[in-house]
Amino acid sequence: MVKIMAADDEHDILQLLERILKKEGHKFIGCSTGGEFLKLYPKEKPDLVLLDVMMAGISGTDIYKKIKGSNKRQKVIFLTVLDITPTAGGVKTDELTAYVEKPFEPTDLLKKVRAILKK
Amino acid sequence: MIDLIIIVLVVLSLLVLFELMVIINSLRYTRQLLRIKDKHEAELRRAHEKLKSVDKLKTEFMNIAAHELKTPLVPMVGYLHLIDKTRLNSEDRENLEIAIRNTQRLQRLVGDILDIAKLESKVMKFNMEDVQLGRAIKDAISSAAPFAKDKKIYLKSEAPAKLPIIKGDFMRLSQVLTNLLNNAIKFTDKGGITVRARKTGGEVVVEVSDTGIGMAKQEIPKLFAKFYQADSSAKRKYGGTGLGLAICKEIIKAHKGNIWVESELGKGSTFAFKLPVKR
Repeated sequence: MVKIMAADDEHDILQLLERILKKEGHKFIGCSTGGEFLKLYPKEKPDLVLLDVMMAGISGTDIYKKIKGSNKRQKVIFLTVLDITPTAGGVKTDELTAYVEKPFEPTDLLKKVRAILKK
Repeated sequence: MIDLIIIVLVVLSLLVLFELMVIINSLRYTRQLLRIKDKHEAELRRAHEKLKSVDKLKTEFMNIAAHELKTPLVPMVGYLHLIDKTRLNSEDRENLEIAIRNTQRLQRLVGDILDIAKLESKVMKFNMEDVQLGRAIKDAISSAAPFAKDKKIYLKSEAPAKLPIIKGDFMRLSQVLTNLLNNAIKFTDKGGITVRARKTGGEVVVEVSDTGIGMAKQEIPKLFAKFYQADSSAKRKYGGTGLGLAICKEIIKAHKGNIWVESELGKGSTFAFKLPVKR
């Protein structure tokens, strides 16, 4: 079973992600703050991480820099409105990083999840 | 004789004194000019700093506006698509389809308004990288293909898989291609759409040709203006914000390219853009 962790400060979006990914048969762990995510991440060791770029406090980009610092092979999908990307903020991303533009349809998210999990 | 010498000396002294006064005045004047120059430079620096902080504020504002307008759309779009249509009766299914259709309309409108606002206030960020346009064309065609299939029209590519690399923002150029393809599909009921691409000199030209309704010659110059639609009945029949082509034009302009259209009423249109090849 694939384990997916997500960080998004919007409860409705976290729940939406949970419903889409659980239906696909994945294990889902949702965190509503960057702090909560970083606390759980080393213990959970997820196969894939979904990050909201723009979060209050510790942002998705901050989380990305931290987790990539400890695990370069971590697969990450950023959930973002088109312009607000870590690259635009000067953060270097790699081939194990993908983007899903908000708002997204469940099938678009699942396509990206399947593609990155194959890498 | 002595008198004459004294007179000459006095005249010479007066001349030297006059010269000295001129030099002193010039120095004073130069110092004054330098003070004015310094003052103006300081003012320019302050104005520049102010402009920089206004730009930063504009970018921050646009990012917050984008985030706040798009965030509520995420659960709206997502949950509507999670509803199991097979468990609904025909009326509820129709209700759901209307809700989905209008959410998509709102989504396009929000996206287009934010894009045009960002482009006009020059706060849109372009992530310039090496772009293989062949890949962008392939992606845009595969995402537009289901819409062409729904209308029973063809959508084919005659573009070579490998095109010269250009320097650009992949996502924004894909947005232009998707926009042109969606427009072509929207205005074509018979026949279909063909995408072509070629290298001409130092540029790559991409064309999206359709066999759709086309347009009259007098409509063409106004076509890339904001909120313009070829005729008001088209707006009622085909919908849309009338911002798509204005956005395409600005994006292509930001890539130092050019976009244009050739069209004939009743016979179809060809939208084309050219971009400089990376040197």
